[in-house]
Parts: sequence; C-alpha cells; structure tokens
Amino acid sequence: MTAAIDIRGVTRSYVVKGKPDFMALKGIDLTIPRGEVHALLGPNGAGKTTLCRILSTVLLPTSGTVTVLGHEVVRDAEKAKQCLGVVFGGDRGLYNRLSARQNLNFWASLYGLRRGERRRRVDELLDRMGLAQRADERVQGFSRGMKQRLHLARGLVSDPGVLILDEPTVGMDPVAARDFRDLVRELRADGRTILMTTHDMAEAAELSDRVSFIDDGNLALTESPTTVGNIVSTRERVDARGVPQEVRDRLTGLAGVAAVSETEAGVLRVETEHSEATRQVLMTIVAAGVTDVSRSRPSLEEVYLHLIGRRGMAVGG
Amino acid sequence: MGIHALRVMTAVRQGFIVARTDFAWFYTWKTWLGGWLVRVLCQVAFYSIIGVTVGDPDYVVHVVLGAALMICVAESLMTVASTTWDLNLGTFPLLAASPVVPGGYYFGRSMMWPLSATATTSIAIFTMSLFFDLHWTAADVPLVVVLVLLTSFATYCMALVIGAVALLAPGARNVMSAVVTMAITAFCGAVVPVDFWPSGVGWAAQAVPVTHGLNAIRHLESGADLGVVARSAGLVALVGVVWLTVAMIAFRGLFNHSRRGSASLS
Amino acid sequence: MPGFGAGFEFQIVAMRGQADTYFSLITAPFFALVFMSIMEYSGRTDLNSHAVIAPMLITMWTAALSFSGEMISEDRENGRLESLIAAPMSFAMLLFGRLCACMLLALPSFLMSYLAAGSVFGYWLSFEQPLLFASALVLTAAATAATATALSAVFVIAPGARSVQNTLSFPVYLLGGVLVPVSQYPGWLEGLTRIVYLSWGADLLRAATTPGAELENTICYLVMLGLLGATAFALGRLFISRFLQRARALGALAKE
Repeated sequence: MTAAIDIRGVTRSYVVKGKPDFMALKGIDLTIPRGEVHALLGPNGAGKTTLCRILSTVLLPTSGTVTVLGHEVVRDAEKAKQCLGVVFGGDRGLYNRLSARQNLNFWASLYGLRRGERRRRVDELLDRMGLAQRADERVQGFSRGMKQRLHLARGLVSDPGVLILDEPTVGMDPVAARDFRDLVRELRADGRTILMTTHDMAEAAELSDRVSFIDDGNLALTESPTTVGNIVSTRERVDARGVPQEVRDRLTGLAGVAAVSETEAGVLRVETEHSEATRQVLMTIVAAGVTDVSRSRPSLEEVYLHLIGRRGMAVGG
Repeated sequence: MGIHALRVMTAVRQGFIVARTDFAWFYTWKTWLGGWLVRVLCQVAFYSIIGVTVGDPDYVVHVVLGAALMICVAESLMTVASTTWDLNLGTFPLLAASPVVPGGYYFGRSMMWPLSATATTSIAIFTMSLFFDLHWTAADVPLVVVLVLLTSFATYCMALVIGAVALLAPGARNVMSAVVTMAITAFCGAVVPVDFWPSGVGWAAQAVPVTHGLNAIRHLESGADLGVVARSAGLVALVGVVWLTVAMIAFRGLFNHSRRGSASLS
Repeated sequence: MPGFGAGFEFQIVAMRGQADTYFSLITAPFFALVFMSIMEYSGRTDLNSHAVIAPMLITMWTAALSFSGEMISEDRENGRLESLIAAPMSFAMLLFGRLCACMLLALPSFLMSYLAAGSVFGYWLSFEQPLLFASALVLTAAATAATATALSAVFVIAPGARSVQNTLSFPVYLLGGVLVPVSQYPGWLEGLTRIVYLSWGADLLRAATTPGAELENTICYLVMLGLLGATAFALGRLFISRFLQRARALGALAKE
C-alpha cells in the first residue's frame, strides 16, 4: 500500500533581494503511513509552514518530490488536491460577510460536491463542529475559536483522506483547544491521515502517533511521542539566584542532576532527570538560605535542543 | 477676529498638507496624464460625439462645454470620499480632540481635487475645441481658466457639505457622489438647457454652482458682453460662499458630535 | 466546471452585502434620463432605443471594472487565496463564474433604464426581435465577464494598473460605441473600435430593439462578439495561470 504522504529530498529556497538565497527547507525526507497522526514540531521559521504549503500544492518545491496517496503534488497536482484537505492556521481566510453555511457551501461546490450531497455534508459538518446553532449568522461576528472550527469544517468538506493542519490551535482558548483535540481523535478514528504543525508539545504528545522535529529547514528527528513524552515529563529544572559557589559544586554532584549552568541573566539553572532529583536540589538550595528559587519545565525549544544534543552532537558536558 | 482668521488659515494649511500627500499617493504624473486625463478627454468626446450625431453645430458647442464642465464637477465631488478617509484612518476622533478649526481643516483636506479639476477641465475645453470647432481669442484663455477655477472651488464647497453627510454614512460615500454627479449632469444644463425640465428642477438647479458656471462660460464662448459673463461668475461665487458657510457649520457640528462620543464617528 | 458553478452561486450571495453592487446600478436611471433628454431635446426620438440600451451596457462595464479590481487581491489579503488554489478546480473558471454572476446586474439596470425612459418621457422600448435581443444580451454579458477575468489578472500581476482602473470607464464607452454606433465614427477610429467586443454587442442590441433596423449580417456580429469574448477569456486564463505559477514558485500567494 502506498504511503499517505511521501516526502523525498525536498528543498525550498526563497530569493531575497541583495542577499544569498534563503533556504527554508534543506532536504526533507519523511514518510507518513496511512491512518497516522503526525505532528511537525519546531520553532517559528523552522520550515513547517513551507512544508505544509508544498504538500497542499500551493508552493512549488525547489527540488525533491512529494506524493500524497501516490499523486505527485507538482506533476499531478489536480489529483493530489482531490484527496487533500488543508487548514491554514489563524482565523483569516473566510468570507466574513457570508454565513458559516454559505462559506461551507461555497467550498463544497469548489470540491465538486453535488447539491444534495453538499447539503448533507455541510449540515453534518456544522453539527460536528458545534456550529449548527449559528450556521446562518455572518462569520464576522464569530469568535476566534468558532472561526477556527469553521476552518476545520472547511478542510473536511471534501471528506479528504489526508488532512493538513497548519497551526490549527494557534490563539485558541484552552476550552476550544480541548474540543479540538477531541475532534482530532475522532478524525483519527475515521482512519484519516493527519499532518499537523504545532508549537504545543503537550498537544503533539497527546494526539500524535509520531512527531517530527524540524529546525532551520532540517528534519532533526522523527519519534513516537512516548520517547519524546518521557523527556518532557522527566526533565525538570530549578532556577535560583544568589547561590553560593560551594552549594553549586554540591548540586553538580547530586544524583539525577543532568546539568548545572548559569543563564545570561545570572540565574543558576539546574536540570534534573526526575522529580526525586528536583526535590533534592530544592532542599539543598533552600537549606543554603536561598529564597529566590523557582521550578519550571523546560520549554519546547530547550527539549528540542536537548534532543539533538543527546543524539550525539557534541554539545559539551 | 484677526487671530481667528489666522487659526483658520493654519487649519487650511494643515489640511492641505494631507491633501497633497494623498494626491501623490493616488496619482503619479504618469497615471494622472495617461490614466485620468485620457479618461476625462474620452468622457468629453463621448458626449460631444452624441452632440454631433443628434444636433446642429450650436448644439455641439453646448454639449462640448457642458461635458467639459461636468469633469470639474465629478472631480471636485471626489471630496465626498476623501472627507471620509479620516474615519478609516482613525484620525477623525484625534482631529476632534485637537484645537484645529474643523471647517478650515476640511477646506484644505481635499483641495487637491478642485485644483486638479481646474487643470483637467481647462485642458479638456481647449483640446476638444480643436476637434469640435469652438473658438477662443487669446484674451479668453485666462478667463476660461479663471471661470473653471471658480466653478471647481464653488462645487468643492458644495461637495464639502455632502462629505460632511457622508461622514455619518461612510459606506454610501461613492453612491452619494455618483448620484449627485449624475443628477447635476442631467438637470443643471450640461447636455440640455435647464428649462427643458419642469420649473421645480430649474429652481433647484440654481443652488448648484455649475449651473451658473456653465452660463458664464457659454456666454464667454458666444462673445457676449463681459458684464454678462461677470454676472454669472458672481452667482457662482455667491452660491459657493453659501455652501462653504453651511460646510463650516456642518463640520463644527460633527466635531462636537464626535466629542460627545458618537460611536458612528469613531 | 466545478469552479464556474461555485463562483456563480457564491457571487450571487456575496453581492447582496457589497457596496459595489449598488454603485454599479445606481447610475443607470440617471444615464437613461441624460441620454433620453438629449434625444428628445434635439428631436432625434428615432434614437431613443440607443438611449435606453446604453445605460445597461454602462452598468455591465462599471460592474466588470469595480468587481474585477479587487477580486484576487481581496482573497489574497484575507488569506483565502491559498485555500482556493489548493482546491481542485480551475481558478480562472471560478473568477469567470463570479464575474458572470456580476453581469446579472445588467437586468435590474435595464429595467430601471426602461422604466425611467417610459415613465418620464413616455417612451417604452419595443422588443422587435426578442430572440436576437436575448442572445445578444447573454453573449455581451459573457464577453464582459471574460474581459473582466483578464482584467482581474492584470490588476493582480501589475498592481500599478489598479490606479488606472477607474479611468477605464469612458474610454471603453467611447470605443465600445455604447450610445453612438461606431459606424458613425471616422473610418480610422471605427477600425480600432471593432476590436472592442462592446461595439458588436451594442450594435446587436440596438438592432433588436429599433423598428426597421436590420444588420447586414447578424450572424457575423454574433460570431465576432463570441470570438472576442472567447479571446478575452483565453487571455485571462493565460494571465492567471502565469500569475499562479509565478506565485507558487516565489511563495507569494499569501498576503503582500
């Protein structure tokens, strides 16, 4: 069986006036089997959106090939489009002066749905997205969350086998984001293949079968979220100010302490492997009379950098 | 009184700075000459050819001058739109909060239109005169330009009042100026004499500056006594001053309305 | 043609709330009054049909200009263009469908013009050849929509062209002979006007409504009108596919 998405050696460069070409993607290889929910993680400007645009046929790769359910997205764009649903993030991209139903009707007819089928599909989606009550109101007055749900409905209008979601939860409030996660689970249960980009590590861990880290145009790693999830849940850190030198030395020697460093702002940062180690670190610091102390989890970016470090790139210590 | 006049002048100047930059944004020399001026000449030619098709040479002269002066009406009425631009920019409430003289500012704010209108209309009159056999003496030329300038500014004063109304319904600004332009073209003597229409229409037309402007310029072309021309020109100025007074009062009222927190003006 | 039908239906819904709709319509009765007054005043009531037909043609062209001007750029600014391009349909057909729906404005415009001439001047246009009138009307509308499709692509490829958008009105009324038949223009000018589809459409519509008026070769006029419309559409498709190809290569479909 062909893969849902097959990306081979894809590069993409942009011409920037007066500067050398900017390489947004530097050679991506990724295969996503059918029925997988795959999250693409990485900082802003990493190339996630560029990859989504190439997949959805609206941007041409500089080199390499991409197939969606066996259809090449450049040569065979029309066929690829038929089996793709695309949701670009944010709340823009709707016809604000039209109602939710009118918006969906329009998109359904663009995807070639006949009248009766269209009505059924639009009703079903409005219902599924919880928009049925306000289906005939102008989109203008919708909240951001409602607009995003409408976007999702739009992406599903053609009942696509492959769904590309570019930052679908950006700016969503927590309740809306939770509803969204439920929805992705339902879609997964339908057997759809979903590629989504996100900044939200927890979201990715919760929803996806595998995650890929992308940074600076390179695919750094593709893992199942359990591996990544362990790192997220075990690696903790303690930040403190005014820690005497001898206490610092003691901290370095504690079991379960992965790293001790000083940030640019002069804060001592202790990274630990598990919560027992964190407890020990806190006790040691507090016992030394230091009160300016806080606990936090590493940000996604730090986990990400850390992951690369673990994979054998010599990042000292 | 002297101080107030100075404040008004300052407001006009401040408005005119905005007008100049807006105009430069709207047109470059190339698009003004190659786009707008060509359109204007085509408009006059369009009506003039109708005149040639249906009427005698006298009627052709009537239509050529009528169509040419409609240019200065259409262009001066662009003021209706530019008056509302401050709403979109969000500068209207700021202006209302400032000590600027409202009518003075708005008199300067769209002044690019009557100035441009004077140029386009004058060029249209003289260009079309070559094709449709209108005759001017050398002494007529500056007089024509002065009459066009006067008519443009008087129409501008009327447009300011409509612009003040448009501030209350900015979505309708283009429809308003289109309707007024078309109504003036139909009823104020551009293509058929005012008395072609029922007398009520004729009376209403007296309140429109270009009705008198058309009389003045047609008198001048037909070689009438300069006193007759001057009388019509005087009426243009008089009607213009009345409209300007109304505009000043209207803008003052709108600023007060805005200061009281009118939602429609913020 | 999923693009065409979707665009047509969509535009009908969208037009209701759009100021451009009313702007295109509002001048029609006034133009009718202006033109009718000229005919009545100069005693050329034999040309009354010209005066009633012209406002409708003017509305068509005004609508073509005002709607095509922002059709693509609005979608781009509002972040819709990428989703549209990602859909499996012809973008040119979508635009053509939308602009064809805009041409429906010709109907109320014609009605207003007809009523203005009838109620004010007592002139009620007679439909001498209804079949010819209907076919000429449909073809003229389609050709206008096709030309507008090409224009919409020009406006997005060369944003500078937008500044001359408003200036394209009277030059086209003049060259299209919407009121005075171009056959009465000087010979050199007539030659030029014959590449403007409107000159054929206007002649046909007048011939269908003027008693005793016969065109020498009606079929030839219809064919020319169709051909010029088809050429405009072919050009429009070419411009649009070139624009999209370039935008996909440069990554310029979003914003700007």
